[in-house]
Parts: sequence; C-alpha cells; structure tokens
Amino acid sequence: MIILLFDILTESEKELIDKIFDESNIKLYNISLNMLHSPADAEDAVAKTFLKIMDHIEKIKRLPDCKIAPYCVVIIKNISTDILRERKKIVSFNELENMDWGGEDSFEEFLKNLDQKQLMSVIDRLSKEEQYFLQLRYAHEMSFKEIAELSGVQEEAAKKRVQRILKKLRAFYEEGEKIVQSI
Amino acid sequence: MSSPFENVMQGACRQSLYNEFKACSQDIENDDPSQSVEDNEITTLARKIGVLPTEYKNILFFRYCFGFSAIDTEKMLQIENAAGKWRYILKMLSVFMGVKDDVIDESSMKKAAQLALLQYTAYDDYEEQRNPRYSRAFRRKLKEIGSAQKSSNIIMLIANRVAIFVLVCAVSFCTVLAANAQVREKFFHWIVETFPQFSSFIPQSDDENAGPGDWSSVQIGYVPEGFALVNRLEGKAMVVYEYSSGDGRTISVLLKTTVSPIQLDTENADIREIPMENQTAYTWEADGFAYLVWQWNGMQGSIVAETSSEEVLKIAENIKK
Repeated sequence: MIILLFDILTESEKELIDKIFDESNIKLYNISLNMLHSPADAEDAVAKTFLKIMDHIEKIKRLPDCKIAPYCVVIIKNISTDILRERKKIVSFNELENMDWGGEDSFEEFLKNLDQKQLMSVIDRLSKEEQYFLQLRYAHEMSFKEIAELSGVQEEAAKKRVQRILKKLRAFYEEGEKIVQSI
Repeated sequence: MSSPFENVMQGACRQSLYNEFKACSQDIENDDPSQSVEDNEITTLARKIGVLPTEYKNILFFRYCFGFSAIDTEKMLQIENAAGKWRYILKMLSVFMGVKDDVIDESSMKKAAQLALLQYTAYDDYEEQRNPRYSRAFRRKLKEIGSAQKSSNIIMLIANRVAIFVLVCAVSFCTVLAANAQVREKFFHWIVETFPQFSSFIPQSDDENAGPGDWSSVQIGYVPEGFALVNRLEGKAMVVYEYSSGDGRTISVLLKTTVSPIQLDTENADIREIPMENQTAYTWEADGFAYLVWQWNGMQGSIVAETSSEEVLKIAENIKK
C-alpha cells in the first residue's frame, strides 16, 4: 500500500488510487520490466504511471471498473515505449542504400543534393497509400514486417513496394510526372 | 542520424506527416460517408490496430474504449492534435482495409479497438512474474510527489536522476520569494511545518530579488567512501549533485539561492536541531535515509543520503566555495 499526501484529492480519490496501486502495481511493473529489462527503469515507469493516474484521477474515476486496469496498462506501455525510444538505436537503412536504383549515381549521392522542401512537394504528388508507406517507414521507423501486417501484404512485397515508391519519388523529383507514368 | 538518406527522408516524411495531421484536423467536421466492416473482418482490423505505432493505438483506445474526448486524450497522453491524428489513422486504416472512398464507421472501429485493447493489455503471456522490490528511493519519491502536489498541481515528469531536482523546481515555482547576494549574508530563520508524513522547511527573508547562484566555484570536499558523482544538474538558482555507490545507495546534495520551502520525508522521524555555521540546521533519519537541512554561505542546502547522519554532516561541513 502506498501512502499519498494529496490535500487536493478527495478521500474517495485517494482510496481509488490506493486500490489501483494495490491491485495493479505488480502487473504494471512486470509489463514494464518485460519491455525495458531494467528494474530501475521499470520502477521509474511505475512511478510515472501513478503520477499520471493521480493527475487525471477525476477522469479515471468515471471509467467503468473493468476499464481501469486496461487504462493503466496502456499508460505504462506508453511510458515504457517513451523510455525505449530514448534508448533506441537508429534503424539501419543498408538494404535501401545497396539496392540498384537504375541510375549512374547512387541514391545516396542523389540525396546529397536533395532539397527537403522540394522532396516534400514531391511526396505530396504520391497517392495517399504511397504516402502512408513512406510515413510508416521513415517517420515512424516501422519494420517492413509491421508495414506488411498493416497493409495486408507479404513482408517482401512491402519492401519492394517501398522501393518502387522511392524510385517513383526520384523520377518525380528529377524528370517530372511524364516519365513516372512508365514506371 | 547515420546517413544523408535517413536524414532527408525522415525529415521530409515527418514534415509531410505533420502537414497531413494539420489538414486532417481541419477536415474533422466533414461528414465522410462511412462503411461498416464485416464481422469476420473485425479481427483483421484489430490486428492492424495492434501493429500501429503506440501513439496511434493509444489515440484509438482512448476514443473507442475509454470514451475520452480528443482534448482529454491530448492532456492525458501529452500529445498534440489528437483529433487530427485520429482522423489520419482512420483514413489510413480505411485504405488498408480496402475501404478506399469512404471511411470505416464508428461501430466497426469501436469493436476492433476493443478487441485490439484486449490483445494489447493481455497479461497471461508473462510466464515469469517478478515481484517488485521497490527501493526506499521509490517510496520516498512517491511521498515527495505527493507533498509537492499538495502545493502545486504542476504536471511533473520524474526520472530517476532528476527526481529531486524537478521536485524542488516545482515547489520553488510555487512560492519563489528570492534572495540576493546582500541578503544571503543575513541569517535566515526557519519555519518548520510538520505534517504526518513530511515537513516543510521554509526559510524566512524579507528580500524580494532573486539572484542566480555562482555554482562553478562550489566544491564538495567530502563524500563517504564508495560513492562517486553520477550526475550534476545546474539551474539558475540551484544545483544538485547526485552520488551513487556500487551497491545502489544514493546521496543527493541540493544547494539553492531561492527562498522557497524544502519539503522532505519526516514520517516517524525524530528531527534534531543542531547549530551549524551560527544558524539552526535540522537533521533526522527516516526510512534508511539521513537528512540535513541547513544554510550555508547565504544559500539553503539539503542533503538526502543513504548513509548515517554523521556522514551527512561531514558532507555539509566540507562544502567549499
């Protein structure tokens, strides 16, 4: 049981926080530990989770009882993900750098001279679906396996799809839509 | 960023995504035709929700499972533009579910989100459950959080290393009185308010000007054997030194120039008044920690350490400027 000192909380809110802590702290700790593999970080995540619960107790107490535990799990996973993100190493893009782009210069060289603003305007010319693929891969750094699951294709197909979109992007960028139609 | 490719693509895609969220938030009122998803496809939709980035999943769970508004979601998850992001996710899922010209209807989204939440929060997979053995520092942290929130409802993010620093900042912001160099030479008087689980030490001064501290010349000349400096956090008006020992014990030394309450755990503790530098200092032991609150060179100091009161006093006496 934890002892909390909140004059700003009502007795029933304090009781609810205590109840949530008693019922779920071990579960939350283990969920976080499974994600972070560090007891100290898992402790930290549990502390932050309860800080959030305290802060939003007015809203949480309106949830049906059966939703409180899932809510806590969502919060601790969110916090643990943030901790992981801080640690996360940069995804390797070797597979794309080494592919054959069909031009004389490498894609890397092409990108050296690329202007981000121009690139964005070219992205806007892609279809929504194509934009989703690029955003998932590059903005969210999702794996091809995850993108495949989300888009309903095989992993290899997702990879090829991203490569085709990049080729199209390059063609848009360099030569305009006319050539793109033949890809 | 490791390569030009990564830099350029990430930058462009993130900006494009941001623009898309913005456009989607302006599009909220548009009543797009919606289409329900067949019951046998709900599982597929739930699986797709399950692989979404955490933030997207959370937005859907908050909306469809917990019934929170976009504004509440933003506050609780500390994210921006939850409404725009929700709209974007809905459109993306609709495309990937083959509902290309319409969007998936609310009822189907709700069913799939609830199913995805069940999978996301399932706990049975954890074969090896470990009982947390929360450290004393953790318990203390919770108490400190509580006492700080008593004074202020500021949202505080604590991390192991910055917990004390942030907590003191939060308290300081509530009641910053201030001290300048001249008044630092005067003696303070403490007002000590004792509550069941903690005490608030409030130095009294009639000064109204805050002054930044010159922390560069501060030197802590003694720490108990086995402790090493792991972190030093410096703010305008305060500095925190954190030491750690090989067996996980910690020492935190805080010095600050602002005249604001220092709230510390005094539950079941016998607080002793001792003379120090011609002023009154307070020391006690609680929950395996030794505490000292004192004034030094016109500043307020506090030490929280997993060691004895004698060692804590020795640390304080050996701080030089």
